[in-house]
Amino acid sequence: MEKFSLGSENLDLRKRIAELEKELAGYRSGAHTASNGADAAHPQSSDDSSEAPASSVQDDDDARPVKLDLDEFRRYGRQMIMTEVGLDGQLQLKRSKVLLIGAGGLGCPAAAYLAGAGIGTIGIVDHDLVEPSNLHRQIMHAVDRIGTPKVTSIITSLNNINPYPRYVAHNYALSAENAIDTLDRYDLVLDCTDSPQTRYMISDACVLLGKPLVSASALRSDGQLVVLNNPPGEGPCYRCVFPRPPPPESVLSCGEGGVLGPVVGAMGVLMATEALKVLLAKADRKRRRKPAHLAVAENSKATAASDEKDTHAQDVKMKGKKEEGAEERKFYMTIYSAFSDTPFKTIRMFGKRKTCQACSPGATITKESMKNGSLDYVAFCGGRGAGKYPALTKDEVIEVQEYQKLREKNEGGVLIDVRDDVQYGMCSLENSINVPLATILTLPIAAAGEGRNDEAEEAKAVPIPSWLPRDTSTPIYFICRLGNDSRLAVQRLKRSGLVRGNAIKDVNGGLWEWSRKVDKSFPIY
Amino acid sequence: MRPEASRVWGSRPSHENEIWGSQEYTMATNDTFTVLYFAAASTYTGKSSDVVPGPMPVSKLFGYLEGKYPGIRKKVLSSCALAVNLTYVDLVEDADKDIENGDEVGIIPPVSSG
Repeated sequence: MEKFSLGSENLDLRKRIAELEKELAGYRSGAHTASNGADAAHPQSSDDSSEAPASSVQDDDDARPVKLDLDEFRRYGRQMIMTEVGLDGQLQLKRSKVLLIGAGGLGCPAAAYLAGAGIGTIGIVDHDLVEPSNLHRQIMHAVDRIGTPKVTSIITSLNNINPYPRYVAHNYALSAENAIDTLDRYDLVLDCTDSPQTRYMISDACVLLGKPLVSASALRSDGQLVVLNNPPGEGPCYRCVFPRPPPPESVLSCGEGGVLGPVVGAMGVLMATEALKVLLAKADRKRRRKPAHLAVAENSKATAASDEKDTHAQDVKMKGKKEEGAEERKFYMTIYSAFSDTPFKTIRMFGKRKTCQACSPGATITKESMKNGSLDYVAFCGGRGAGKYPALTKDEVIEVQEYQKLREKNEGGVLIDVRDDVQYGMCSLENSINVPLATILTLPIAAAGEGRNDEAEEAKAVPIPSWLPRDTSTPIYFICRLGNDSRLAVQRLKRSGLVRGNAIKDVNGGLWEWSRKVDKSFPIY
Repeated sequence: MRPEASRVWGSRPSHENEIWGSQEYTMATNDTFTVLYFAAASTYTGKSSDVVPGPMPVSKLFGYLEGKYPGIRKKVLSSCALAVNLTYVDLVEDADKDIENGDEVGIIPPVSSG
């Protein structure tokens, strides 16, 4: 009896252990969360967000157990009840670590929606400070945070939206040397930067690390959106789409070219959507239910087919599967032209470029070549605007205060403002005339001895533009917004050979310097 | 010195530069195809589209546009992606492919700002 009793107790204990193990497995898969809602899972503090690239993100397993507390159920309920999300999707988002590079016009809206959606860890890279000119589009920054680092400003706002995610501040500029280490600890990267060199660099790093990349951009009223290296190793990279960088003199920042707030905002919001799509695709699809009426229809169809001929049903099924598989391998780029009647266009892309330097079998770019700095992205993109603006001699430049003195003595000569007519219409100096740089660049170029004859003849045939002084004593001064285009104008007018004798000078630093040093009431924009 | 103390910025009448209606709409005919300009390509040409006599091999298009807009090849087209009927076209691999009449060609310069 004694023995038997012990044996049955043993059995009971084994049963209990099996039960507990099952429960534990449930916790691990995250499916057993509802009963744990009462656990005081406090939002993770962002105090520990570090500026150092190392050890700021946990290197934990992708499949680590996560659970939702009651507040999170209420918070995420609206998206969780969607078939595309569900509990598994939400847990997947919470497990995910997303890096946003850039806390500007794209990064702000993208981060806001990703934080709201409950991404577990959100890292943000930016080395800039908040400026007043950011606020019309960079919606996570605020007036009282002007002059503070963008990363701390954006994290302040994100915490107000959702305190649950862990926010990691990377308050430094991304470089080829630190890109691999910075990106490595995240699952997905969003390129919210503003220059060609960072776009190629981030794309290369994502290819090398096998991370999907959501890339978008905006300027003026145009935007582009593309998901790259997705799935990793299959999808095209930035180099596949744009193998040749744009010439540096044609690259405009939002500060130079302008941008409409909601245009860049729309691209940022679309980035967040694409990021959620990439992350949710990782959640277990099998658990996703079909709508009941479709499930029934399919079942009856399958039964009917199997009644007739098993092989036929198999064929249909196989065909369906094949098509689904093929669909997954399609890649698209969305382009947005806000002022067009049909603002959105989606271009179908092909996979990787066979000759791609970064992602083809013959790729030459390696982690080592990135880390040791032997890859020069600035040089690849044609230099840092080097040669974009000519260097002038001392005689070709006049300081703003000096020029103001000449104006007071009525010796200001002809002041030519080379900004475009829109900017000239915003504000201009008295007695200045507006000849946009684009017009000046169309002037003929004087044939200099070795020039071909027909060119020289052409130059002779061009009449002298009405805005040039007819006498040879009136000096000509060029001014623009920041003092760069005016230098081009000086150089270009000299090359035209249309001016003989007149002094041609650049007002150094342009209207920006004018406003700072001569007339503080003149707008800076 | 303040040239004009009572100056109010923004009160100046704006120039008649119609950014809202700057797009030119042109109809393609039976022996033409349409070229759509995006971003910097639209800025350079000053329009959103052109009608071009076709058919024309892909490799000839940039030369044709250079003739129409001198300088565009170096300043804009050199880095552009090209799409024919919303499908990406590789400038090297698809160089001999014909752009047919009625096609819609997109000139897509990389936008890198943000």
